[in-house]
Amino acid sequence: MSKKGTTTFIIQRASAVLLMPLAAWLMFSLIVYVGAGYEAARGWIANWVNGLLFGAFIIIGAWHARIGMAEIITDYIHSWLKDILLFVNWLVALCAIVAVAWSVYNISFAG
Amino acid sequence: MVQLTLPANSKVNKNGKHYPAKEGAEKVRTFRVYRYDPDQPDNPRVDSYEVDCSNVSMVLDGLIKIKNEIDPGLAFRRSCREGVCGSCAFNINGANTLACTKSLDDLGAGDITVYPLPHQPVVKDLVTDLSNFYKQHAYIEPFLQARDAEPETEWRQSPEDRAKLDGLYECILCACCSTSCPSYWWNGDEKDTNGEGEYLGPAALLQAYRWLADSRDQLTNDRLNKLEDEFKLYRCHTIMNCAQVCPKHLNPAKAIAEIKKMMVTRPPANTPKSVKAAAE
Ligand code: SF4
Ligand code: SF4
Ligand code: FES
Repeated sequence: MSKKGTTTFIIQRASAVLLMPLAAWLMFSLIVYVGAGYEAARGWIANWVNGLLFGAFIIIGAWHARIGMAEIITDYIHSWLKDILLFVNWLVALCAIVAVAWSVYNISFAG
Repeated sequence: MVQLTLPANSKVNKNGKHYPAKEGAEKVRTFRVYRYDPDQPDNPRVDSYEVDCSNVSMVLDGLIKIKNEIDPGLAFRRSCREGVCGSCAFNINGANTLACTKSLDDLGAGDITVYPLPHQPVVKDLVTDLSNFYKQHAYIEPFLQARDAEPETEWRQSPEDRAKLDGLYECILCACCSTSCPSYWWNGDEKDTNGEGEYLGPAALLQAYRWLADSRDQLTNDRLNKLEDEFKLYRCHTIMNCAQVCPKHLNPAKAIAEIKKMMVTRPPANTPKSVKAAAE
C-alpha cells in the first residue's frame, strides 16, 4: 500500500478548484454557440486560447474523474478485481487525455 | 467485495416470540428486540414485548424491565445508565444511540425497535464484539507522548490550549458513530496482505485528533505518519452520519477534516517519504 493518501487528496481538491472557472467558461461558450454548426465549433477550437482552455478542461476533468472513480473502486471492491479495475480506470483517463491533447494540437496549433 | 446482503446465518427469521401485556397494564408500548443465541443453531429473530411503561422513561429502563419481569434471558450491556460509560449503545428505531439517554417520548407513539450496533459481530442478542473497535482506538495511541524530559510537576497547558480539546475529550467510546458510518461498514476491518487497508472510523479518528490538538503532545508528526495511507483516514467521505448520531453531540467528521488539514499543511520534509529518503 502506497503512502499517497494525502497527495491524492490534494490533487483531487486542486483539480476541483481549477475545474470550476473552466466549467463556467465552457458553459458560457456553449451557450453562445448554441445552434451553430460543426464548422463554427471547429473554428472556435481553432482559436488557440479556446483550444488550450478546452484541452485543460478535459485533461484536468479526466484526472479528477479518475481519482473519483478510483475512490469508489477502493471503497467497494476488495477482491483481485480491484487492481484490474483501477488499471482500466487509469487507462480510460489516459486515453481521454491523449485523445484530447492530440485533437487540440491538430485543430488549434498544427492546422 | 462489499457485503450488500447479510450472510445466510445472519438473516432474521420469522420465529420471533410475542409476550403480550399483563392484565391491567397501563401505557403499553411494544418493544421489538433483536435476539440471537450463539448456542442455538437458529438464525436471529425479533421478539416483541408489550411493556407497561407507566414507570418507564428511557429505552434502557424498558429493557431492564423486560429482563427483570418478562424475559431474564435477554442479553445487553449497560452500566452507568446516565450516558457516561458508553455501554448501552444500540440501534434504536433505526438510529444508533444510547438506550439510557433515549427517552420513549422522543420515539413517537409506535413500536420501539432495538437492534445491536450495525455491522459488528453479534455475541448474543444486543451484545456486539467491539474488539476491533478497541484495537483501532489503541492504534492511535490515546495518551500523552512527549520527547522532552518529564517536568518535575505537571505538563502545563494554558486555558486557551485546553479549550481546544473541548468537543474532543468528551467521547465515551460508545461506537455509535463508527458503526453508523458506511465507510466503516465497508472498510472498517479490511486487510490487505501488508496488514493495511483498514479505515479506522470516526471514533478512533476523533481521538487521534484529540491528541494531535493537545499542546502538550510532541509526537504530532509521528501521529500523522501513522494515519498516512489511502485507508486509515482518507476513507472518510464526509457522509456525516457520525455527527448526526453521536449521543454526546460531538462532531467526528469535523475532527477528521482537521486532521486532513494538518496532513495537507505540514511541511513536505515531515512526510514519511521525505523522512525515508533522508534516512537512505
Ligand atoms: S464520538 Fe460520540 S458516537 Fe462516537 S464513540 Fe465518541 S461519544 Fe460515541
Ligand atoms: S463523516 Fe466520515 S466518519 Fe463520519 S460517517 Fe461520514 S464517512 Fe464516516
Ligand atoms: S448505561 Fe452507560 S451510557 Fe448508557
